[in-house]
Amino acid sequence: MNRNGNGKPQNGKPQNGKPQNGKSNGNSAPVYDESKIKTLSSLEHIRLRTGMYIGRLGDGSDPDDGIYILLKEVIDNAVDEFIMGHGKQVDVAIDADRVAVRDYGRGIPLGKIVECVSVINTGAKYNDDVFQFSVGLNGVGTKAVNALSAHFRAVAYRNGQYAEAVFARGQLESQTKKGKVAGQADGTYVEFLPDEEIFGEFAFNFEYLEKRLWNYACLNSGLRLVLNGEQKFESKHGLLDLLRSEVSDNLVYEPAYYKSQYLEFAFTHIPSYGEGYHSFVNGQYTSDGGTHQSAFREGLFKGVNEFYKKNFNSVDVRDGIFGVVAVKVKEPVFESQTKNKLGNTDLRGWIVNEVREAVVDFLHKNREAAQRLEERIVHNEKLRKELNAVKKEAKEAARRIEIKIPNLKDCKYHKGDKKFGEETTLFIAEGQSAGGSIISSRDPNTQAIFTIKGKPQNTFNRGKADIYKNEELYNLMMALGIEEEHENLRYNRVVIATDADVDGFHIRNLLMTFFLNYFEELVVAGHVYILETPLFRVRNKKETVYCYTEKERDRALKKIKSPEITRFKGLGEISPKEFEQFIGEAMRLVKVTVRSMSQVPDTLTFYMGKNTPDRREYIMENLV
Amino acid sequence: MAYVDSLYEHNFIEYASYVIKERAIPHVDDGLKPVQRRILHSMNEMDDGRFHKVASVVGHAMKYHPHGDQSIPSSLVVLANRDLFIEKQGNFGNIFTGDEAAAPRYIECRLTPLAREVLFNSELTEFQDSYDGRNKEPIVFPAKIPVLLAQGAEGIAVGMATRIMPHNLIELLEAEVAYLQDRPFEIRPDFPTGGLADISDYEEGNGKILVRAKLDTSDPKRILIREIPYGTTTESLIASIEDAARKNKIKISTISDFTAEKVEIEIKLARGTYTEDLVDALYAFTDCELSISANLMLINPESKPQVMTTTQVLQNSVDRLIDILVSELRVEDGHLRDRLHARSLEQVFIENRIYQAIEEQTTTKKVTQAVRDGLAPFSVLIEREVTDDDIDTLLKIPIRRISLYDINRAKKEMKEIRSRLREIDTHLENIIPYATDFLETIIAKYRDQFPRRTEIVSFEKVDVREAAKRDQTLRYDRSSGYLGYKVATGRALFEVSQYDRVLVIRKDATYSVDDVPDKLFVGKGMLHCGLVDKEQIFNVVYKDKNGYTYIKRCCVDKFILNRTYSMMPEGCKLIKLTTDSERKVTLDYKPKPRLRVLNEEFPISQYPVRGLRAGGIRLSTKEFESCKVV
Repeated sequence: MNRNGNGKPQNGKPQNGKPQNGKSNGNSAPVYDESKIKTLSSLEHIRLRTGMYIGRLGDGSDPDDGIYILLKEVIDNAVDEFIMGHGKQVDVAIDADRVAVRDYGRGIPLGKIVECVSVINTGAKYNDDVFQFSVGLNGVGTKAVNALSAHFRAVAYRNGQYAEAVFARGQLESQTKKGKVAGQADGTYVEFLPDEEIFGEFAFNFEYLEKRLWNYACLNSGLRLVLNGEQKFESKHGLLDLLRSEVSDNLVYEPAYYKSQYLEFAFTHIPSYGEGYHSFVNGQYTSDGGTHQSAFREGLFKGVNEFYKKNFNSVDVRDGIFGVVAVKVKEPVFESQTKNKLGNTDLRGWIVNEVREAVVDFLHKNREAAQRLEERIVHNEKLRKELNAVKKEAKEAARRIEIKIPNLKDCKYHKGDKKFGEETTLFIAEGQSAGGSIISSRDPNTQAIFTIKGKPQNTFNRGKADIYKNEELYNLMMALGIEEEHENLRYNRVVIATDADVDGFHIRNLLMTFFLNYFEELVVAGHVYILETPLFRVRNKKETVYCYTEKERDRALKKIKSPEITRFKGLGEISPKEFEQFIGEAMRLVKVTVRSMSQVPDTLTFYMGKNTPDRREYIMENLV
Repeated sequence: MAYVDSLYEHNFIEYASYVIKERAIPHVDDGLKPVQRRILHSMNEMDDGRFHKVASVVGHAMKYHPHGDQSIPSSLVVLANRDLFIEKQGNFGNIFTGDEAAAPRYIECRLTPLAREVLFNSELTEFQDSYDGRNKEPIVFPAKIPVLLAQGAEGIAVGMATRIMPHNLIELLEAEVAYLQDRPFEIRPDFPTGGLADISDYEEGNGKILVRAKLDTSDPKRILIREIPYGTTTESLIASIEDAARKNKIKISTISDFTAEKVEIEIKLARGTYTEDLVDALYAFTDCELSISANLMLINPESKPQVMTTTQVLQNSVDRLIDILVSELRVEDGHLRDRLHARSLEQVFIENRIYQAIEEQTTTKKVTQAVRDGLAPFSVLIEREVTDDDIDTLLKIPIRRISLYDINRAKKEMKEIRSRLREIDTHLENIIPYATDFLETIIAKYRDQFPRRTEIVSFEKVDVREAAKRDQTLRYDRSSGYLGYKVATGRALFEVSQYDRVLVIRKDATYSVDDVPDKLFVGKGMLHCGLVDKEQIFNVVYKDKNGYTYIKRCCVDKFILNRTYSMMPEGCKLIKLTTDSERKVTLDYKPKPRLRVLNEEFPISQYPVRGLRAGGIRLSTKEFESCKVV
């Protein structure tokens, strides 16, 4: 099969022979004269340049291998009969390597049977009255099959008479011009055995065959294809059936389906991402799409935007879509030999318009589908924007902290270092006033300080992109080194060091939410701690006791004579000299642990989520 | 080690409790949040009649308020702008325009006479340690007026929030008098910005009120906004009008803010628009009308958050007032009795020259004893038991006073004290009239200072649908089944605006109410399409699975937008839907032996109109051949 004006003229071009001559000998250059110019007969050409007619050869292990194309060419002709309204059934039989196809159409006119199957550029499909919208327009298909078969037999039945022709490798072996036969309905029978000289060792894979037959059935609803007299392929709803068999049951909405004289399509969205299409031209599967497929995509996108009166991005509209589209075109132009890609540019306009109108109509008539589709598009949009935002923010944010992470006073050693690695600690301190005390009293080898200002954002239910939008949380993440992988944590201990007052408690919850929401592994692995600082200082001129609880304070009061009590309100009240002991050997840390990971979402929703009547009641009951 | 959930719980409840009780929600007794109370307490402590810099008050208040120093000045300004307790000097911002106050170092403040009169009495105030234990601060003030309702409050806590409307002080006090006298009273909000308000859904502080700007519409080409609704500023109001104009919801040519002492926003109208056309649109599409949800959440006397009604708050305030007045009287009574005792001792001590007895005594003990002995014969004249402290006081009397002692003056003073004591007794016995008197004095004194500003009116919320112009034609194309104002073919039904809602009844007797569609697929054979009219009666005649005929009469009065409902039970078949209740249903029965009447008529209007979900009423049990509505 070939496009006029591409394959044929090449045939006569001299440069075809050139390379062969060129490489045969190095010393005595072969003579390039008139004797070297050859003219191949059509059938010879098919056998020599197989690829031009049936694409790849292969051994049947790929659905596009040559043997399937041979079958396709034969079935195409049978289906063309059906399309023209003759014969509702096509029988296909495959016995080992021998293939037989019988249609119940009009049958090849008996007197022309030999020409029809062996003389290239012969056929009725140049005539619009007899065949419209067929794939095989060029009178090449059957001839190619014939030429590539070790055995080829065609029988045409018409009104109780028949004609038969038998070939081997394209050469006529025997012929019956007109004979009588009883009990045979009109139609054409073609039998062929792919030539092992060409295809080598091959085998038909029935899965591929079934799929092809099912496609035929769906593209031609009403046509029954019978494989080996047992399996029947038949479709009532055409492309809708094809679509349903391609996607799982998990659909976003019930598929849309449209059929007119020249256009038929069905589509739906599925929960996964990306887009998928099956497109056909006059029953020919175009695996690489082409103008009809791109026009379908365009029309769908336009229709969706028209219906919702929005300006959705096409990517968002189509992400997750699965569509099947078939068009009938009088003169299909393909971009490749094997008809994988349609090239007609004149199709675009009307397909786009028809699809657009049909999509708008479908959405109007199916409110639920319209609603689901919109949800999906909005979801796609959100996801894409979030992803873009993350990428963009990440880039910019990374530039800001290239030289130094703001608000971080780092230490010299880090987790993973042999020396001191275990002891490395990052204090997350509330406010500059607290951070200052820790800075002057820390051990710069192992103790780093990150100061936050006021209350950090509540990150409950926020996406990862939000980290990048919040400079403080981003810096914290970068200070910890856990942007990519929590394994990269730079400190063995992450210590939340807030004041022991109510606002400090609130910040503790906000920071724990940050960790649990984005980096729960840190908590699970036991890296997150809360620093306990003393609430009271009880002292007289000789002695000073720091107390962490009221009990401790009362005990101290008994012990010390004429005591003075100070209630620490903020860490800033503790002077650096005093602070040394609170973050030194005797540091009191509370490790944050998770009872069970499955509870965490509930806990977070309750305490950090929206106001609920439950929570209000809980507050009322537990108020202290 | 601690589990996440218990950490959360502890931190959360500590923080929530604190924010609720110590930050965002006001106390019912004195109507103040802690920061406000601390400011007023500081101002009272600093009070010397002169103006003080706000910055200095803030510094003082920090002894009590353990938080960042930024929150205090803004709280002070808000409190001052309520114009109840704080007299302002300098730029305290503008509640009309929303302009901010000058920095605390520029502006000055002092307590108003009202504050001094009704808020403070250290003898009746319960104090607690301040956060660092170095000072004492009041738990609540013994407020004698209903501060909470007079000032109003807004606050967002954890898990709850409060939004209390301000009210007119004089009206509140009058309501208190009415309550004391068992007369009915009403509590109506009053906003400092004036404007109009509809309080029909106020629900005693927990409902909704509608507030509106006061418009001057005397000029047909110009609208003047004279008063703005509560919750807006001229700035925000103008922004909302501009926004509506940009969205083509109203047509104006210019808008300018001429606000000085009084609000004046001028809206000049576009060519071809007149004042009367625009007023409703201004209410519908701009902040000229706002709906405010009130939520009277407060801290009750048991220190728990609670939602109360305005009446409850007022009653609480009156009960408190009586308690306070009684305590005040008792305290005064105590003071007077102390004084009387001291005076009578003095009198006996001097008149009878008991001081002479101490001349010979050599020890303190003996001196005391000598005085005690000297006083003993006169115990009848002395009010109560003589203590060592009393004797000590007598001994400290300067000799000068003894020489100049004026017996008549002393007697007069004691007489006055006694008469005041009797007066106090009378007051205590008649505390209700006494409290009434107190309130009426305050009312008389401050009436002129607190005029009502907001006019209470009753208005229908302007329906956006009515304010919009009907300028689109709704069409129904029978052949394609589309309905909408963008449908170009088919029959024109009626004119609509984009805010209208239409009721569509489809062929299968399912119906839905939708915003006017530009294009909506309703299918062929639409039975009815009209603007929503909740009183329109639909008569549905249908046949059930068994072939019986039913009639159902109902109104579409309840619906959720865009949801499809059915007019008849499942599995039934519609025979006829009509809005004409004057018609009749006729049934032609299948001829059967002994069946005499072969035809019956059922006037529709004889059947009751029932709810939408009610089933129909069966017309007849006989099998019929045909059913018609004539």
